[in-house]
Amino acid sequence: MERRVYFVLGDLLCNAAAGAVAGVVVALVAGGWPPALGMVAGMAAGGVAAMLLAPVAGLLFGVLEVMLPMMVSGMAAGMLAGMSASSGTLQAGAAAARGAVVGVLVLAATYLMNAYFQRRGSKWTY
Amino acid sequence: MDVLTRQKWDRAAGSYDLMNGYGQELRWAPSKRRLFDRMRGRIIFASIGTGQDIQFFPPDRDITGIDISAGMLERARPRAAGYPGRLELRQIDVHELDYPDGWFDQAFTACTFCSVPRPVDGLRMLRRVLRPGGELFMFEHTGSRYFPFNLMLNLMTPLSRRFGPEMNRDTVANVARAGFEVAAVEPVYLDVVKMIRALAPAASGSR
Repeated sequence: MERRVYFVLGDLLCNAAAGAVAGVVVALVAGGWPPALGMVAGMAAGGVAAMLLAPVAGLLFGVLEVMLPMMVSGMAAGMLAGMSASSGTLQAGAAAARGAVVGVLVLAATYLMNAYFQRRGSKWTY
Repeated sequence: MDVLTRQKWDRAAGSYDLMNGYGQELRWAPSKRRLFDRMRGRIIFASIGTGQDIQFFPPDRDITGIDISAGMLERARPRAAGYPGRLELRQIDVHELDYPDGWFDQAFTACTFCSVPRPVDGLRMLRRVLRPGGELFMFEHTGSRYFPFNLMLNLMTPLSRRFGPEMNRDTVANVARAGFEVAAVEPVYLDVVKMIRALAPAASGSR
């Protein structure tokens, strides 16, 4: 599991940003849409928004390790924002805050998954 | 030589260090150092690209670095010149290695078999040029077996293969298909980035 402060902070920043941006984009677009459409479109839009951000963040923090959780963060935040926006008025600030929290939660889940793989994988002992 | 692949990587050479440079190399540095510390004997490194990995090579090794792209090798030359050991660079397709059977003691790859057009054939060629019992060490990104990462990597691959690597290959299975004995697979990041150690069997002299 990643323990270097530079990367832990970078991962946090990237995923919070991906979630926030996805949340704002979807909140601005999906207001008043049917809930199911808002959810699906929000997930897709959030994923795309994060995919566009990830290569830039990857320059500093490594493309693969940044891109995969950022896309999940974007999709999850977009889905949440899409559902919320379709059921009422979702302010951009609230969408950004919720999206950032979702991004941090997704990152935490990814770190746990990574720890699982590290524990399960074979270690070279020679 | 596979002209389309050569041209693709010649085009990518100019921006390769920017896109795969600082962040990625810093992230992977500890794992790569640990992998390359195992370098012993006569070594083939496929594909060496712009030579970003040379900084992680232990000194005083005998290494032949190959790549299909002249553009990549041009950028690798200054790095190779600074290596404190023997490091020869050659432009050659991994499918068409012209070394005798069993010439090398070890083969190393780093983000190579995400891009080789016929990975099993390329790996078979590496197996041929390895001595019986010779070791293959790989640092590779692959597809994932787990949702949602497998979905994302599958969706990205049709686009990514136009400019660079495929994101969803099953490289561990390809190593086994090529006739190697897979000895260890160590995850670096999720089940996507991994280090693989495999052995050429005693009968590795035949293709």
